[in-house]
Formats: sequence, C-alpha cells, structure tokens
Amino acid sequence: MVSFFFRRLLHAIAVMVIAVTLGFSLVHLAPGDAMTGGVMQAGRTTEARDRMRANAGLNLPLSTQYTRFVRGALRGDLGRSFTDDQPVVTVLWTALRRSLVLAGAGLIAAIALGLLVGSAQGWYPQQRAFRWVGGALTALYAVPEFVLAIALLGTLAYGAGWFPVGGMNDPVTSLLGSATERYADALRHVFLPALTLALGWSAAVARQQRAAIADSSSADFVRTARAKGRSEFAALIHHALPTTVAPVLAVIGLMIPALVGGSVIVEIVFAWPGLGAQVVHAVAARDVPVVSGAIIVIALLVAISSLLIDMAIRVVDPRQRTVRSHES
Amino acid sequence: MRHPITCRLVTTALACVALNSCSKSDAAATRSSRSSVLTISTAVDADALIPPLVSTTQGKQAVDMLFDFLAEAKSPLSTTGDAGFAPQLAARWQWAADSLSIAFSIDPRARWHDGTPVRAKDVRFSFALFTDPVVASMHASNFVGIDSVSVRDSLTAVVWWHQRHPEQFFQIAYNLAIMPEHLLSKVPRDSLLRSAFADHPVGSGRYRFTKWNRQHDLMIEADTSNYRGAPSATRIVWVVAADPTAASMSVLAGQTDLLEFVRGDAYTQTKKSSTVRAVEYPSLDYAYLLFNYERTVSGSRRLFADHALRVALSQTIDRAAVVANALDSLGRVALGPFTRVTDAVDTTMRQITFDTASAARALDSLGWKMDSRDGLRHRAGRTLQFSLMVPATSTTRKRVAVLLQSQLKAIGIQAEIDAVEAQVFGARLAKGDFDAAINAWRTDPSPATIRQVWRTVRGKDVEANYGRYSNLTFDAAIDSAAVMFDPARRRTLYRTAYQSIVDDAAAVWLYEPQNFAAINARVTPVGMRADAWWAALPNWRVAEAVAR
Repeated sequence: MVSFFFRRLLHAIAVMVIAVTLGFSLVHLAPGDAMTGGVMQAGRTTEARDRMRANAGLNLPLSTQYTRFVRGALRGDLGRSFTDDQPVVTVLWTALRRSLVLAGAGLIAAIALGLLVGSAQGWYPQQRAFRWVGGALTALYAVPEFVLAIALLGTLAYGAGWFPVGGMNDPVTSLLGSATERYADALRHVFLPALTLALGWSAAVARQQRAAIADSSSADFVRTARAKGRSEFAALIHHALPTTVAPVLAVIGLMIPALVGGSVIVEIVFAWPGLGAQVVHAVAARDVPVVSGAIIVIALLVAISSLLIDMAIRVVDPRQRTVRSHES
Repeated sequence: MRHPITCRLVTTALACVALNSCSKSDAAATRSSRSSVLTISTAVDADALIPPLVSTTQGKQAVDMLFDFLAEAKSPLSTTGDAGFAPQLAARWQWAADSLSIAFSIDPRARWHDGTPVRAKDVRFSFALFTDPVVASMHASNFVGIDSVSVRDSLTAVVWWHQRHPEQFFQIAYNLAIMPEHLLSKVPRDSLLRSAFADHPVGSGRYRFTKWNRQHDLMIEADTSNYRGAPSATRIVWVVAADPTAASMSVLAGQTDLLEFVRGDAYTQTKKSSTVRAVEYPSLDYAYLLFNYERTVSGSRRLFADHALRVALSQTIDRAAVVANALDSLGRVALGPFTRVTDAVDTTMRQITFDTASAARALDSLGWKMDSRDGLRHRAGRTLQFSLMVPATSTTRKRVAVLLQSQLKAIGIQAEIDAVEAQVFGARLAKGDFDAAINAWRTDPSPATIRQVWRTVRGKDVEANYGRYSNLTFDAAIDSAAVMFDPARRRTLYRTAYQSIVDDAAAVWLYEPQNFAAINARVTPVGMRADAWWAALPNWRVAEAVAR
C-alpha cells in the first residue's frame, strides 16, 4: 500500500511539473503582456510602462522568470497579481472557495441523481420509466455544458424569473438580510449552475451504476440473499449496492478533472466568480502570476483527488489489493 | 416528572415562532433598506478604488462617488475658464491677478468619512500622489503644466501653473480627486494597492465605501451627514455579470436597475420592455479606419502616406450604409476625430463623400489598374491588398470589417480581416504591427487632447498616435487653439484643425455610436453627461423597489 502511495505521488508530481511548465511557457508565448495594450497602457508614458515591466520582472529571460516562479511556489509564494497587486495565493484561495461550493454542490447532486437512476435502471431493467429517465440523462450528457447552461438560464431564470440570472448572491441581501434570507438567496443562486453541472455528470454515474447493479443483481451472493428470504429492497441495499462503490468511485475520479474544466464554462455563463472566471480574466489581462498560480492549483487539485480516489478504491475493493499484490 | 421530549418540542416550537417572527421583521427591514438601492449591472469589475490607480470606467464611477473634487462640472461640460463649474470641496476660489495661480478655499464643513476634517494639505498631498513617477498613474499627464500646490492656511490650497492657458481651472478641478493625507502619507508610494486603504477607501464624497467582493459586487452607501447633503439612493451596488449579454439580461429581468450601454438585441428588448427604458445620452466615442503610415504595404513603402490613395479609400466606403447595417442605425456617420458634442465642432464641415467613380479614377491614375481576371488592382506585379485588424471581442467592429471588405473588394482592393484578441490588438497597435485597423477612441472632454492621438510624434513614445500620422498644419492649428483665450478665435482655430485633418483623409471616419442606457422605470436619471453619465448619480431619483 505504501509503495503504491509513493508511486502515485511521484506520478502526481510529474504531472504537476509538466502542467506548470507548459502553462507558464504558453502564457509567456502569447503576444502582449499586462503592461502593453488595453487600458493598462493608455495615458502612461513608455518610461512608466518600462519601469512597471522591469518591476514585474518581465524583462528577465524566460528561464530566470521560470526559476524564480518555481522557487517562490515551493515556498508557497506565488507572487502578486499584475492587475490589482493582491497576493496570488489570496486571489486564488478566494476564487477556489467559491468554485468548490459550486463544484461540490454539482458533484453531490450528480452522484445522488446518478446513483438513484442507475440503481433503479439496473435493478428493474424492464421498467420503461427508468429507461426513459436514463435515456434523458444520456441525452443531456451529450449536450455541451454551455448550451445546457444557456438553455436553463433562458428558461428558468430569464423567462420564468424563478432564479437569478447570475452571481453568487444578491449583494444587498447578503449585507442586510437575515440568516434565513441569506441561505435562501445563496441556494437560489447556486441551484441553476449546480444543476447544469449535475445533469451532465449524473449520466456518467448512472451508466456505471446501472451496469454494476445489473451484474450484481444476478450474482450468487444476491441470489443467496433472496433465497434466505431477504426482501428485494434489502438485497439491493445490503448486498448489491456495496459492490458498486469501487466502479462509481473510479467514475468520480475521472469526473474531477472534468469538474475543474467544465465548471469554467458554467462559471462564466452564470457569472459565478470562481476559479474558472478568475483564470479567464487573468488570461485576458496577461496576469501571468495568477494564470501560473491557477495552473498549479488546478494541477494540484487533480493530482490530489486522483490520488485519493485511487487510494479509496483500494480500500473499498479488496480485489484491487489482491490483483496489485499478485502483480508486484 | 417532566417529559424531556415534550419540553424540547415545546422549546423548538417557540424557537421556530420566534425565528419566523424575527425573519419576518428582518425581511421587512431588508425591504425597507433596499427600497432606494440602485443596482448597476456591469460586465467588468472595478480595478482599483484609489483615484490615481484607477483605469476602468467602473473604478472611476465608484471613485467619483467616494471622493470629492475641488469643483463640480456642470452639464454640459465646458472646459474653458471656470464658468462651467460649481463649488464642491472648494466653497469658493480666487484667481491671481496674473492668472498663474488659483486659491481654493476648502469648505470648512467637509469631513472625511472617518470624521477627520478635510484640509488644504490634503489637496497638496493628492497632487503629489497623482504626479509621483513612482505611483506611475496613467492620469499624471492630466497635470502637465502645473508647477505645484501650496498651502496658504489650513483651509486654502493654492495651485500654481508655469503658464496661463484656457483650461487651467478644468485641468485641476476636473482631474484631481482629493485623498486623505492622514491615511495615505505613510503608505509606500509603490505599494498603494497593498495598503488597507485600497480595500477600504475613505473619501469625503456623498457616498462612503461599504464592501467589495472582487469580480462579484461593489457596494457604497449614502453618507447621510455629508456636508453637501444626503444623496437620493441609500446605496449603490455594482453587480458584475459574466459579459454584456448577461448584464443586459439582468436589467431586463428586473434584477438590476441600470446598464450603461445597450446595443443590438438588448436595445430591441429594452424598447419592448414595460419596466425598463432606453435612455439616450451624449457620446464621446468615435471609430475609424486607422492607417499605418510607416508600413510597407502591397510592396510599396509607406503606402498609406499617399494622400491621393487615402482619399480614394475614403471615397470607396459608403459610411452611411456601414452605420445602417452594422449599428442598426444606433449611430451616426463620424465627422472626424471628434464627436458632435466636442467643443467647436461644425456639423456642416466639408467631408470626403462616397464616390466610387472618383475613387476608381484616382486609383487608376496612381497606377493601380484593375485586372478583370481576378477583379483586383495591381501595380508592378503587386496586388493592392492589406490586412484589416479588428478586436475579436467587438461584434460591431467585426461587422464593420466585413462591410468594408466587401465595399473595398467592389473597387478591386483586397482587405484581409485579421480578428485578434483584445490584448493582442492593443499590443500590436502599440508596436505598429498592422497595416490598417478599425480602432475606437473615447475623446477627452478637452478638445486639446485630440493631440494625444493625431499630433506628429517623434521617437519611441507614440502616445495613441499608433499609425504615426503627421500633419503640420493640423499640429500648428491645434497647438494655437489650445492656448487661445479668445473664444471666437479659439473656435476658428479648432475648426481649421478639424477641417485640415478631414481634408487630409488621415483616416476613414466611420461612426459615432449613440449611447443608450437601459434604466429601470423606477429610476429617474438626471444630468447624464457625455464624459461621465454617472456624474450626477447622487441626485438621481430612485423610487421604492418592487419585490425582486
């Protein structure tokens, strides 16, 4: 187990190094910088811009800038944002917390919906209603997230007026409202973006769950449970479901990178001020420290979550441990 | 024996009743306090709230509410003399006999939002901050020609100029936001944005800072004890939307009250809405086809330096059709590098008219002959073609580019559209890395600042004269106009300059967009100026909000 952990850790570190190096190089290769073009340069003299560029270290060779950046990152210092001079760690932590709220809500909803629909489909394969629901989820899985987001926004927010058209909360309610009003307001704001994420992801979970339950439903241990007089519900909950945890965890592991990437689009459409929106703004402004820092954070998130999922699968599924130990 | 479960149930029920009544009274309080809240939808967040470091319009809007200026510009804005200004932080002012200095008497009632009185030394400090090279304010150039600010007594600040000019008063009163010395003097000048003040600015304006969630919302609230009186709206909130479309949806859905610009579909929806209306206000924007005078194009060195070619290009473009098709008639044909609200503009001035026959003759005479095989003009084996750079983020300019391409093609000129990301567009303009570009410019209220874009430049610093245009007649007339005190002669000189640059076909003057704001019916705007529609925001009337 320990050697497995270290192997996965080394793999995660290699992924991070590649991601950070590529990201850093690509941002620098893009034409323009924070002190050239756009509003940043209007009215400033060339001397002032050159001084700002020198202060930011943009005049140094790329290799030196990279070395500086990596050294800082290893100390936990990602530098300061070019646009508002805030520490990058603060900027990213603020945005990340907001993203985690949205992605967390989307993930929980996706798992709940996917498990429910997948289990029902797998356990009652002849039920037409469950097949339709599963089919609808698969259809939604095929729809690009931005289309789904715009459709939900247009119908439920703009058309029906049931939900706000964007943002994380109503600033006035968040300042003046009671605790109840604030929670209700936050729920109204998170509902549509989380639903957008959940509808797409739940199809993947449902599909996996359906196959796993279908396999389990005809397995010997389930037949034995039925023969012992256990009810259908008890056989499902106590015998079939536990065997499906590992495959579902594997799907969740695959979803996490998609979660980080996919929520960028959803954040933009719903004006959710999370990490995705922050990165888009930073790229447009050529705010190199923020972009590079965000790449580290995203790579770290993906690496850690993959590692944890791999570990969890080994813990819950004894077959994995057996197979690996035979291999080693 | 008491029944603990029953007790708990009773207690819980009582708590629920109390919570319910509390939340009802809280809700009533919230409704009451939000009754005159004005929410502004915006696609861009403020960048900073320290006046010298502000570069976005949204930052400027907030700063103008939080901080005071020495005098308040009236509407419409006049930049000459002091007749167009009313007292603000300065209760009165006095010109020196030689007009080289103005003594401003600070209103003794003025207080910073932390309660400290505003003093003349704050004016001196603010000037020093704006002009300090370490601060590198992009507004520092607004103070060129001002020698210094001195303090005569605690309530009198004297501003000194090197030489007289007609816009002295405008220069200091319009541009210098007054900041508190006692809170900023100890902050290192190169790290103002890292200070506590940057996150919680303290001004003396009619609104005080409340909170700022970056990339989400910015809130200010009425300073009810302000020396100039409490403003109408109790709070102003800028709510950041994902993009202009999302911002307009927010206003149309009634979730916010105002969006400063609506175009296209959003304008049509606004016109149809019963709760939101489109309010027009004057514009200082114009768009033009910018030529790169230094560039080798179609094998010809400095192709666009040829006056006859530029005139032919201008005659080729049907600008009225461009405005009708690309702006859906929400704009006007531009007259030159200025707008119709610019001082001294004569709307009947001579223009280069749409005349493809003349254009074709001129191109023929320049040696650019039409080849019927490919429908393009050639000279010495070279095709008359150039790239047309546009920012990919501007739908209007991309539409205009397509129309220009088609109109130029009709006369045998090949224009390749080069749509680039906004940051790249700015960088390439600054580097001179383009043949031609569709650029847009917001003019300054002072007509003299046209020099930033069109006066002859030498050396590395091109300011905003990206194409390196040079016209000595224009330069001489505009320089003379800028220092002319006599209003009639000043107007004549400006007109001479304007006519000179239009006759020279320095660019193809494409359009002036008409500004329409989408404003909720419960809000009554007043005094929307071309340079700052928000200038009179504290005086806007905001009626009770309906439930959102």
